[in-house]
Amino acid sequence: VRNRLVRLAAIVAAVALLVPPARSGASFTAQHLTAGNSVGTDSVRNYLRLYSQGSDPAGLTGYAVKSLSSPAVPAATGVDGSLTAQLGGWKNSGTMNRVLTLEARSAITVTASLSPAAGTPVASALIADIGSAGGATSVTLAAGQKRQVNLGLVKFGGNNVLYRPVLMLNVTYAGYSGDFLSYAVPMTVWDGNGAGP
Amino acid sequence: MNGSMRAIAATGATGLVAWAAAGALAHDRPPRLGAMSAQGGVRLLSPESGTAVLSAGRLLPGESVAGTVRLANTGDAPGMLELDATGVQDTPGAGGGRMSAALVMRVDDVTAAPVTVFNGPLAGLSGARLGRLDAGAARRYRVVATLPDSGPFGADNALQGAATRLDLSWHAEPLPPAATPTPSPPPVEAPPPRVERPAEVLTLRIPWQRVMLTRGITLSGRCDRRCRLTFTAVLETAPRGGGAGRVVMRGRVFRVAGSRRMLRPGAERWVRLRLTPQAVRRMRSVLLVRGRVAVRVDARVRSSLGAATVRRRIVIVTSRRAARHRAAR
Repeated sequence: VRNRLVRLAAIVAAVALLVPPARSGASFTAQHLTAGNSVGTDSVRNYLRLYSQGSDPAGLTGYAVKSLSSPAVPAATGVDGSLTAQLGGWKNSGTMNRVLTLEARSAITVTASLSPAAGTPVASALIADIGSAGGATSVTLAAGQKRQVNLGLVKFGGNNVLYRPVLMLNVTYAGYSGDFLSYAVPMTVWDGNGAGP
Repeated sequence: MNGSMRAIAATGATGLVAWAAAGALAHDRPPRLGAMSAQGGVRLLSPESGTAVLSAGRLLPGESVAGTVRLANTGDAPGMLELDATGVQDTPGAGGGRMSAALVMRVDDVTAAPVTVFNGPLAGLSGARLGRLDAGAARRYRVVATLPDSGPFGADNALQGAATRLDLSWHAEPLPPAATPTPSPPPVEAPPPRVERPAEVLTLRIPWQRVMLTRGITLSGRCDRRCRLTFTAVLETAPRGGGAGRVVMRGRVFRVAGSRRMLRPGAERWVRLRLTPQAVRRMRSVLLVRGRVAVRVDARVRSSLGAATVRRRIVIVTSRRAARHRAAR
């Protein structure tokens, strides 16, 4: 009996020494990762494309020329959100047809407006059929349809002032009437001699 | 059994007790979280990993995307569940706007009746305490990401085409089993929820206009809920460089008639505030001397959320100065 007890005590001592007690659970942190979530916003480019003569994928020409520029250069350059227009020198009233073209990618309504609405030589912005003068401030387009933007300019002071109006093109569609989906096309127009800066 | 045998037996028994006592702690396995299911509110993304719960590529202001995740504590110890948004990566929008700065996150415990456990900006989703998760228990959370609508006139347009990617890190620290015996539903210990203050109810815009010619200021207001507006104003000098102006007229800047308006929820309303003759004279005299004068418009808004004041300051310059200013811009 004594030998058995001695062996048992030895085993207990050996186990107690060799197998360290595991640490308390308090030092563990369980973790689960819900990875790769992504949230993005819509872009007006998904609904409407803007083209200048240099970026027109159909190779359309006849875009409005920067007034009084020599040599003559198209007023608008760039595409979509990077499109800008330098209208040149305007001391008198006139029109600039096809400053840029737009192409619908789905069924949408496009509305053109100017910011500021008054106080610059650019008095109107109208959307018309390709090759047409005049137009309307708002048009409803089917996917793939193209239109051009015509600008009307009025005589101003002629005081060598560079104006910076912005052409706003706002897209709405059935079920959406906000103004998030819009392009702001920066323009410059020189009220003075020559083509201006 | 003699004395030496008793001593040996006592040593062995003591060792057993000590080992068993130490092992008792080890026996409590830490809480292990198992994601039992994950589904996207809009659609399930990354089916190969099955872990993303939020996926939306074409959000518009005011819209949300939601997903749910079910978490189970498969350990033996209860845990305090916390949530972090990690690994946030922005793709700026066309106007440079960062989606992560705009997103508002909400986490609801939808195990039973929905309980909001976090509501705030994405940047605040760090160490958000979602509550206790008992051993063997499972909870279902709905995560909602909302792009707030900041107002009309393209207020959010800088965010066009912006995107953000983020991970949601759910983690649990073990709690002592006896500390809180039956704490369900989970205690709501999220950071303070985003309280909509009355000032956020009103969107006020004052467009460019001719003030002296029309002897009034036209502005547009829109309230998210029914609200009552009261307009007052102070005339100040408008030093160049944006320094603090000196008050030149306080009170009676607007005629009383028309300076109080009630706005219906969501409807934008144009308000015409007519200047008093005294204000026109004062503005004209300051304009003659300085060429600039400022009008600080205070719109006191009262709604069901309380009252607050929205302040706008406009600077009026002579038309020649205005032309030069626009040209310089």
